[in-house]
Amino acid sequence: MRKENLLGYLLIAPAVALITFICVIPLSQTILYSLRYYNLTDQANERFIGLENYFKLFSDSKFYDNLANTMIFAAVSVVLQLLVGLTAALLMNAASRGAVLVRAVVLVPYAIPGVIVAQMFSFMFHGDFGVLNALLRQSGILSSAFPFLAKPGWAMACIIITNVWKQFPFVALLLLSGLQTIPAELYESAEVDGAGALKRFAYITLPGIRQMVLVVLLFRTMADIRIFDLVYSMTGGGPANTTSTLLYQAYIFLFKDMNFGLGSAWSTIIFFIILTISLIYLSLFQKEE
Amino acid sequence: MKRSIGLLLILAVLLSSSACASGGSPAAAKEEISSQETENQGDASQASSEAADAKQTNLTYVTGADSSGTILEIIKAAQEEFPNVTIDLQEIPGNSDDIKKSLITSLAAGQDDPDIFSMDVIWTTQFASAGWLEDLTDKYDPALYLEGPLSTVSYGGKRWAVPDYTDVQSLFYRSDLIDEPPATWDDLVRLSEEHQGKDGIEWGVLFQAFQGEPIVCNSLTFIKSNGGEDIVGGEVKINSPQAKEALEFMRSLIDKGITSEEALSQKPGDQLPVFMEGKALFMLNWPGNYASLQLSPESKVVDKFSIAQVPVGPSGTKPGPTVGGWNIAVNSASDEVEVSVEVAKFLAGEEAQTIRTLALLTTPAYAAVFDNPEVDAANPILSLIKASLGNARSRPNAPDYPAMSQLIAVNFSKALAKQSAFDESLAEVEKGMQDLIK
Repeated sequence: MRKENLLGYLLIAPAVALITFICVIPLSQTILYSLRYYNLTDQANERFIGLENYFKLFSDSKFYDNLANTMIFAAVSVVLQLLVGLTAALLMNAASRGAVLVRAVVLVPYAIPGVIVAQMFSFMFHGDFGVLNALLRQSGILSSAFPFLAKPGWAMACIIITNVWKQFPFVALLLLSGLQTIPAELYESAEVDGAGALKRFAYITLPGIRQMVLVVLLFRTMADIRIFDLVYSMTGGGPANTTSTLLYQAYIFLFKDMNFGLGSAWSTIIFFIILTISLIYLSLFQKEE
Repeated sequence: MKRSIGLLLILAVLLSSSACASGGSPAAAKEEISSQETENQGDASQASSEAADAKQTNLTYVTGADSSGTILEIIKAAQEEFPNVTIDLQEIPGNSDDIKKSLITSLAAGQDDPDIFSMDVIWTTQFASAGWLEDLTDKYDPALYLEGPLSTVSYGGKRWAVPDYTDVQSLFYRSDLIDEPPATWDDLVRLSEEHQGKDGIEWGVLFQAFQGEPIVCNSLTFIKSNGGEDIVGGEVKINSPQAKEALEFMRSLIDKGITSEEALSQKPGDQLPVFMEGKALFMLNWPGNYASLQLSPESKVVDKFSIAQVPVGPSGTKPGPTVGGWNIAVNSASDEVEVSVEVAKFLAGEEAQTIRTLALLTTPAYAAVFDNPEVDAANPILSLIKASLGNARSRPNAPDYPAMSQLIAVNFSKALAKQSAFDESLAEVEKGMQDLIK
């Protein structure tokens, strides 16, 4: 009995060591840093200051602006990704011929690195050379170039569109795998019973992929709250700081200002925000079961 | 037996994870490395006793990626000069921020690598305060270098790097359409309005106001060309009527249709294609971009443009263009500081700067390079830039410059995007800067 116990411990030891190394240690170190005045340009004054960094951040309007920007970005992105992803999944599921090819094509955006996607879209939104402005002007909707990335509000819309384009394939593939678990007989018998396409979608398809939708929501919400690359290369948080997000600000504190205390406090706050949201989703999962 | 092996394994896991924990802190990392060093030195002394005088020093030099092969040429020259030194060149792709990110990782850990590195002019104060730079005050003769670039290596009365190449914001103008470049903002507006809509000119003036360094550099140039200041003698002077007038002028260019509102999302490189297409009359930009405008096959303005000093505002007396560029610094934690200093001096010396200027048409910081007739023939605008350099102004000289830069960028972006009043933005910047320098 004891021998078996020991074997069990031994077998999980590598996993525990790995998690300790890549999660527990860095996380606790970040929390420890967040309680210190720790600025690399002023190392002589490094000291423990309790929660001062947190008070400073919470009393700064920057925090609430960044939080609001991030939440708007994540919420709109996730909803749009779900809609576009579901549409793509339904199309792929219906495609009988060339299904493999369609799936490969849909995956393309997901395979392109974020920074390159950002460059591509920046160019498309460009006033003088961008394809978007060219189309709008040729069709007579606009008489002169519209500076999409320079307008507060529009800039946020631009990075959301870019993000949805890049991420919807992931959603589509997960939902497709959900769709494929629904037995075809269900649809057949529903059709025999006289259920229309909308009814079949509402009573068979949606319940069938509900679990998968939750998985998608969990993954995408967590990832979109951590948005960084598109902001970094497309807007720099501008114009007028309307696209600055939590993680972009963390990057500024840590790598530009080299203020590890403040940056760690900021990162810790992000960690707890994501943790809270994840716990909410996980409790939803449990209800499902 | 099995149990004891298991215990050993657990012990090993525990030990390794605690080692990792201590490895996370910079001090411990330093220890780890220095113990490695002593081992290496042990090996080296053994080797040197075998081959007495051929002691080879290995240095690492980190710089931005260069696809033209110019850096390799400079390294080759350095190797000839220092036969006993092996220079390991590491080129970091990406922009200034990307290079800084990878440098900070090694420097903050106190690593002896890289020994030498290229440093953006705006990092000097920050890196010097962090104690990462070797003091080079007495290591070279400052009289050999131009004053503008020298101001970017100085902080706290000391020199922390050797100036390599420099850049000072200038006014690019279409010399085929305009005889005399504008000396004042009024001229700038008048000439723009005269030429817009003719000869393919869509825009009068291009400037960059991307939230980040671009908006900081551009607005400080306008402010200082209008008699405004950022910090004078340790006191914040940014909130002035001159500064307000300058920001209002920048916005008025957009409102009059002389500048595209697109400016708010543009970096210097984004606007080169517009000027290259012949669509703009003036462009505020870095002369370091001369080569791409003059030499690239897509350019429609070859030999049709020149460079002038930035025009002066109604409340100003002389141009106050922002200075940029790169310097070469030595890591204070390097285990070969003395050799590194000599190599760094060579990398930013006359020969190296001549090679760089000829190949990349950048502006040298080494005064004598300007007198080389070959250089002058290759880059005819160099003499024009030299005049600008006399008026060059560096960005705020404070250890927390990046935080100031962010503060300026956010608030000026709000003002130029009409999201907050000019007064309010300037007051906000002044307050924030005061907090940062105290």
